[in-house]
Amino acid sequence: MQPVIDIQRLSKQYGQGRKAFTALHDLTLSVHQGEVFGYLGPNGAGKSTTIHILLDIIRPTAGRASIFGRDVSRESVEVHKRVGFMPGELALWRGERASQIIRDFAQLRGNSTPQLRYADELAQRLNLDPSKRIREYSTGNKRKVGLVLALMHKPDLLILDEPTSGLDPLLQHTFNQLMLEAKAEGRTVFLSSHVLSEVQSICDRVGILRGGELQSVENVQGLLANGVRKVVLQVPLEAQAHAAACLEALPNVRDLTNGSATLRFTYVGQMQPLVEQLAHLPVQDLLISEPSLEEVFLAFYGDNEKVN
Amino acid sequence: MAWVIFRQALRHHWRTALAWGVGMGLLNLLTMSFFPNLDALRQFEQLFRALPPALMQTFGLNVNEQFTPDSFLASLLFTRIVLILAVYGVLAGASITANEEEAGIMSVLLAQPVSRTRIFLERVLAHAVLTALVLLLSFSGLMIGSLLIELEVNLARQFEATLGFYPALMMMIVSTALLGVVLRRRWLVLGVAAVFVLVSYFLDTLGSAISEGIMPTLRQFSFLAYNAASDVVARGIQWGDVLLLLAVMVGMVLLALVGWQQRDVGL
Repeated sequence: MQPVIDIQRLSKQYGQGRKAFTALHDLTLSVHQGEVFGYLGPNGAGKSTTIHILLDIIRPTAGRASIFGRDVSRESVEVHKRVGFMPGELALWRGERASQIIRDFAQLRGNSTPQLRYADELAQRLNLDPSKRIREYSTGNKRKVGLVLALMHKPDLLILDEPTSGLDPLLQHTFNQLMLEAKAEGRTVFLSSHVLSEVQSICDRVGILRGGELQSVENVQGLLANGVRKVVLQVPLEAQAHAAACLEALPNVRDLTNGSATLRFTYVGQMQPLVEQLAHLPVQDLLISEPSLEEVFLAFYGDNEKVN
Repeated sequence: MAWVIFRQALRHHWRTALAWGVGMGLLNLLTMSFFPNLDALRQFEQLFRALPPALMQTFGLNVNEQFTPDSFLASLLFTRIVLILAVYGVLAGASITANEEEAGIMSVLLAQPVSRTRIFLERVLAHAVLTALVLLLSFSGLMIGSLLIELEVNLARQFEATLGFYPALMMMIVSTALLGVVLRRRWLVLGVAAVFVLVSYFLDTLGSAISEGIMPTLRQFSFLAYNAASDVVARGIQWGDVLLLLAVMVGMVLLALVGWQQRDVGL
């Protein structure tokens, strides 16, 4: 079956000569129908550049990309009819009412009545009052407007740039529900994020981007089974050397550092062996937290190591 | 599509256009209310005729032609209107792409099913309509003012002179829009456009005041040279000049469209 998004050897370079900067290098990626694909990477990895190329806002230096089999640059208007987009930082006309912008965008797509009906429904679910002017909305409410604009025409493909950043837990839950509904209806979602935990519950696969290069495409279930945690452990100073030796003996402990009475390390995989080992140590305090995406990446692949 | 971008541009800018139009209308009305009677006009003529011809031309008065209420009124109104409405033209031109590109709004708009060409052209068209509104309101002040004075003013000719300014004002809008496509940044666009208008103004003014040397030749490069209100009052609209301005404008629009179509947006 033809992929919904098909990216072949896509590159984007900004500037020329000594000031040249490669934002995206030789990216090849496919996203299939009905899939929720997480496009992950730290800030500056090239996520937004990819999305902007897919939407024909910027043009690639090399390679090609197609959506629904249509070239994203040459047939952008046709492509956009089937795509819903929410940018990372939504900017709209500050003096306009959200309801007016919703009407305008619906009219741009034609057959606006069902879109407006669904936009009303979405606004209710998101607890959004669309009669206000854009300048009157808080950041969170602006993101709700962005969601309504992206979803109201029930697009076959949703492209969302960092959609979960700045959402409160309640809204995050509604957002996840909306994404799962879209998936259940056979629609495709391509969303970027720099926080794995925010998207892991809805994504089928994630692509990890770093320094403009795709490092890996992983099944989320597989990634979670190998869960990565940051651990900070406090033990009495006299027991520190012993504790460090015991922990280093565990095969899943990585990057152990030894501070004043504090041991820090990254733990990968099942927690049971760690818990059993900790039971034998004089633990004074324990903090287990989720690492950043960069740290997950380092734990799996190490620095400068390219996978695939 | 139903001209959504066109209607949106009208909605976004009609208040500004209305304010400019009413403002210009009031300014014209005010000027008319101080307009001299026939005796005073003759005194003005004597005063002006005593000036060097070059200086007289600087005031938009043709030394070789009869000093009529219409020509005097045109000199009072249209030498000033050029610079004042240039501000409107430059601001309007920046709103075609530069303002929204810098604000990040253009990225959202470009992700909708509407072509870049359509966005650009519908906005230029909306500004063409709004600019006509500004000039009509400006003329209405002149019309009302003519009722207040003793002198007989040929309103049809004054209307032609107002209308004659339309291509030049559109030229300012289109050239600023072209600068917006090339330069992207709002303040840079406004700055360069302002310099362009000022240089054009001085080339036109000096070129018409100095009849020898290089200035008359340089004047040909100023778009304002094709928009002399005093000429319109004396001889009617010069359709050759209008067509020339239109041709240059169409060229600028095509150039802007090519650039707008090909380049990255929002960087």
